[in-house]
Amino acid sequence: MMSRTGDRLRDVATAVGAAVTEQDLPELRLAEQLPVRRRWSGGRWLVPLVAAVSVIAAVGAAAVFGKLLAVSRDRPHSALIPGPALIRPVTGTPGYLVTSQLGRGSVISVATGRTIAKIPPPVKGYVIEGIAAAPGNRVFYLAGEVFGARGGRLEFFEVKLRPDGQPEPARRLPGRAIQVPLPVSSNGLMNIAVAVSPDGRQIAYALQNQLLTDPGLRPVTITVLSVSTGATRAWRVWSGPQTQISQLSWDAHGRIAYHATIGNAAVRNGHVIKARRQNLNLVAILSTLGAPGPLLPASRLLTYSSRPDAGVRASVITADGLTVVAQVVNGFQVTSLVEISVATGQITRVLLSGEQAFQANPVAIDGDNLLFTLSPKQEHPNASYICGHLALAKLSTGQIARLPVPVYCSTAAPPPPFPATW
Amino acid sequence: MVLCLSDMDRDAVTIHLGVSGSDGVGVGADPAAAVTALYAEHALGLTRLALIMVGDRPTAEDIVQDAFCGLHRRWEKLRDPAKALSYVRSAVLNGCRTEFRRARTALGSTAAGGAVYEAHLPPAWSAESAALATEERREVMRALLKLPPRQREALLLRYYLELSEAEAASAMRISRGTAKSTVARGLAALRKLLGEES
Repeated sequence: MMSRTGDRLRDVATAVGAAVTEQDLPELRLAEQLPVRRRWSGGRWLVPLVAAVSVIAAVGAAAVFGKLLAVSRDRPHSALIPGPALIRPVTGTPGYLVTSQLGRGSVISVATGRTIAKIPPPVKGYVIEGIAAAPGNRVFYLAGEVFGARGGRLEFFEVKLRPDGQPEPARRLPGRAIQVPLPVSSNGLMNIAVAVSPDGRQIAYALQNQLLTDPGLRPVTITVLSVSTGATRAWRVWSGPQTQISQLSWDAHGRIAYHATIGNAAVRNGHVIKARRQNLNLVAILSTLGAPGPLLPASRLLTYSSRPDAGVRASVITADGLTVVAQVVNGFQVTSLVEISVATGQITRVLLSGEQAFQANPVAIDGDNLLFTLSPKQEHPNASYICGHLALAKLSTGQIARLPVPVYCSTAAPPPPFPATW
Repeated sequence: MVLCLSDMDRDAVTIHLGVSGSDGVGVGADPAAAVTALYAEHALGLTRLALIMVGDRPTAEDIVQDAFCGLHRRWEKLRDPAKALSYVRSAVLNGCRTEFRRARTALGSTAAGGAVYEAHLPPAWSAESAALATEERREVMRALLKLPPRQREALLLRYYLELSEAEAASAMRISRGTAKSTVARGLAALRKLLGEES
């Protein structure tokens, strides 16, 4: 059995296999078994069937007689949410996460962390670079790029999940395809900020200058797209290599909270002005009810920092528009996951702080449920390693639960984005 | 997150099974306990094997989880609990085969001919690729991925997991003689691809 070829194979396989260590091996999750097709066997399914029918009947009755009941139970401030236009958020915990890795989408069970379905590319060569979720955990929107002989284009698709989490065929949103400069695509390594309004009628996306050397820098914009008609409205900010809008979220009053870095900018008297060689990290609120035009004058500044080592790293607004949940960092790399009052700009509650908030990255809120990343108490960086898990925070109680969905980091190179939302 | 076993259950498992040898799973053991014990002992090696086969860690972990969940589902039908490990190995190999076939089909539309295998190598950003950083490793992995799946499996079972011919044959669900000849042919093919003299 000993041979030079065999030895080489053994050495290489051992080196490759060493990327998996005992410490970061996931637990066996026997409860996650995929559904098995079985023949009917007596009354085996009778109890679950009766339970399911009861639940459906109860949900139906609740829908008819108490449409707003579940909403008001979830959030103490929900009286501000306009009822008729709002899609009902989930009343318990979301069932599904939609994620993308290297441009390919998957549906993951929140309870088990297992991939229960792959999302087929809606068109050949489609690379997902952004995902947004409508309230209710069943409708998702994909932002992605397709590349052909005449260059690339950005396209949006709506994906609905069936009750069992399986995706229905994606529907292309109306509107003109957006041409993007080449070579932009990086196999899903880009991250396009995209969000859907709580009434599910509009999505917003941010267009960046992804080519830093592009001589014809076009403005960085937030564009609002009607899901039904394809009509768009855009707010723009001046171009600059550092300017980037990295996250968007909507409230029920038509306002978008955005997290951005603005190049050549500073704050004077509460307003953002042009200032050479200064960058600004900010969270601001844009009302989409107004006319499109320049972004910053139409926005209200919530919080900002001109220091690269401090400020907000990620943020998402609650549907009632009262608070923004944000990851904030100070100059000593002390990180916290906090709630910021939209009215005052002050931190009103600390949900998590210290090592476990190191890369909290709040990304989505559905009902009472915040999706973020929970870091370990002590990190042990080693090659490819698990540097956290997706986690759920109940906003009403502040209770945090780690989800069985690991987040991978690497000491060798930055890992690709792992967009996930519910 | 709902698990079949609590921590207390896991402790009980260890006592009940007394931690058995490679194939040893206590007859009459609680299925969940037995499968969990087997997982604790063999998941690492099998996940590494799957990683080498499919080149993607989350997928490798999923394949191994699926294999153990499958074992748990079919536990009652398992006539000989001592064959549990062999069953899991087979399931992992099957899972890898399915995944590799799927990836090859998906990549086939964008990469031409033999470049398909090249494209299936772990992407350049990943830690797996960092492990493949040296040209030596890349060369061997590239050659390995060009082998027919059966030969690749046989070689990895024999040279990486260091199974005996009988164990490898059992995992691959083939006869011992076939396993032996598959290893020999695979080794010869790999040697040729690597440009080594026999």
